[in-house]
Amino acid sequence: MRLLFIIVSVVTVLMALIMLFFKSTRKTYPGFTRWTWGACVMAAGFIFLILRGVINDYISILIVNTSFPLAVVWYLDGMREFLGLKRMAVTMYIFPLISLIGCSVFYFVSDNTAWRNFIMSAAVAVPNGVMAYLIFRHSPRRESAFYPIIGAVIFINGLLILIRSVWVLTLPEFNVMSESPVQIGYFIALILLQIAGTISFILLNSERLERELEQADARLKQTVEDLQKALFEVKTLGGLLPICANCKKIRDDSGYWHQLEAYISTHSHAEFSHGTCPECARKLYPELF
Amino acid sequence: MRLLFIIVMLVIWFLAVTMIFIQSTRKTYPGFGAWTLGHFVMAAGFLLLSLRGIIPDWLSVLGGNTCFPLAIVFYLKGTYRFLNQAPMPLWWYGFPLASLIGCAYFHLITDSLVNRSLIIALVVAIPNWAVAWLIIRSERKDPSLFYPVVSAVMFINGLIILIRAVWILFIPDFDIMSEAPIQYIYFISVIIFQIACSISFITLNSERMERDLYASELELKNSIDRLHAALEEVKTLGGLLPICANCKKIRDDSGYWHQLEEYISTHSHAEFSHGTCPECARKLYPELF
Repeated sequence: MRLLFIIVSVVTVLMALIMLFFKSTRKTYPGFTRWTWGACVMAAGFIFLILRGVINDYISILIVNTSFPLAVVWYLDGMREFLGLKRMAVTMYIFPLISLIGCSVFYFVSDNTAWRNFIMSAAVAVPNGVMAYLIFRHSPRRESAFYPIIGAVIFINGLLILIRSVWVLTLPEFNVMSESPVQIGYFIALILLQIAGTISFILLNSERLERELEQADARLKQTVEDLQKALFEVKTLGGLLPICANCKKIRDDSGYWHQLEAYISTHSHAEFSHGTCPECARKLYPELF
Repeated sequence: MRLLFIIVMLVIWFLAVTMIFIQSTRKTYPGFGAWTLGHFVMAAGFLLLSLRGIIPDWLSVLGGNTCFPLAIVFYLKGTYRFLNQAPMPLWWYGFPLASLIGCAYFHLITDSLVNRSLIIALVVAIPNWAVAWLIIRSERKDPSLFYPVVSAVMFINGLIILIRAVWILFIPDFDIMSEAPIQYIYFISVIIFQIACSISFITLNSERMERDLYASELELKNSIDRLHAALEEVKTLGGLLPICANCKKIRDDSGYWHQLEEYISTHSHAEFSHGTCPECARKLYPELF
């Protein structure tokens, strides 16, 4: 059983390291930082779990049972941030707190592993459930199985720990180190779910990246089209225009002679307002000068 | 020991399924398919390994020992494609083949687990190092530790199996199911590095996407700049032009009256060629008609 604990812990620590590595070397979106801290707290919890028997029992028990719900609450906070919702209410921190208080009662007042386990599991399962709900409710895309599967992974994560803790409650005597098939199955599932959790976070991040890439490409295409259209619409006056030296009429390509003003107005954005220049005015209306 | 094999196998199957999930729901680049295939071959190898003693020995030994190098060769094939290198030379398939022949010899003719381990270690380590080499040598603009770390993961992935093979040389009467500490250390490292390896592939894919996003954004900016420059070069004639109704001179913004032809030529791409329109010709040169 200790072997399994060690593997779970090693995997969880690895996951935290991977999250840290990813965060420091890759482009990440808001919320990823919270997930990373959550993963680190989770890893710390598992380290204290395998230290059971090595350090004082109460330190191990209280830290483990507080860090698991705290990690999940941070995952939840990160998920809200990632999905662009407003930050999580501070009241959600009640879950690690309840776990801490409950486990203190069931350790110092009446020592009962099964109840401790149940309280901690409930405090982990509820934020997990909320997180799964948020993903179903606010996922930006519904056509592919991507978001539903990620949501399902998170939901199962919470459900599994809850089922196990209820199962534990029904046992006459329970020891964390007992080698029953349910225990072994549970911890193997836990290993897989830890991996799934981390990969989910990385994939959510990269799905967002993918969406931005698609948007950027679409914007690029649109802008180029718009500008080309704009360029095309700009009426340009060009070429060699045959003009009458006397009356200033202009001949178009089909040989018609147009009034200058009409021609220019059609072929450019210019309009004309008629007046008389001082020279012509002097000539035309000498009586005014 | 079998429990550990089963865990390794489950983890790898899980990773293989994850790769399929990503491939079917997310944008992936060429080469990802070969990586996914490699995962399944690897998972099949571990399935055969954990069935040692349940299925015929020769099937488990030869199947497993061919699957592992074949999986890594698929990783290599994917890496070649992903990094836009020339296609992987076909002689790399000689590695799984050599493993098959070597292990057949050391199983069917003279049964030697130690020699088999050494062969398998070599044929697994070398393609792994080739993957590491391709990654570290690839042209990259990312100054972060990302590529070196991913490459190191691949390198260590190959190194651990070789260390184990050499270690086993010094253990008399070694059996694959034996509980020697090296077995635990090795198989736990296999779990860690398999996870690291899958996540490396996933992250390489997302790093590429990130680069595409930056490239697209840069391209967008450049196109806009280019088109703006083009628009600026187009001289546009616009606004309300005060024109003399008599001599057709045009007044500019500063109040000067310009010869029509001169004004239009400066403000557009049009040039003028002077002639006489038929009407004026008739008036001006009546003797010609």
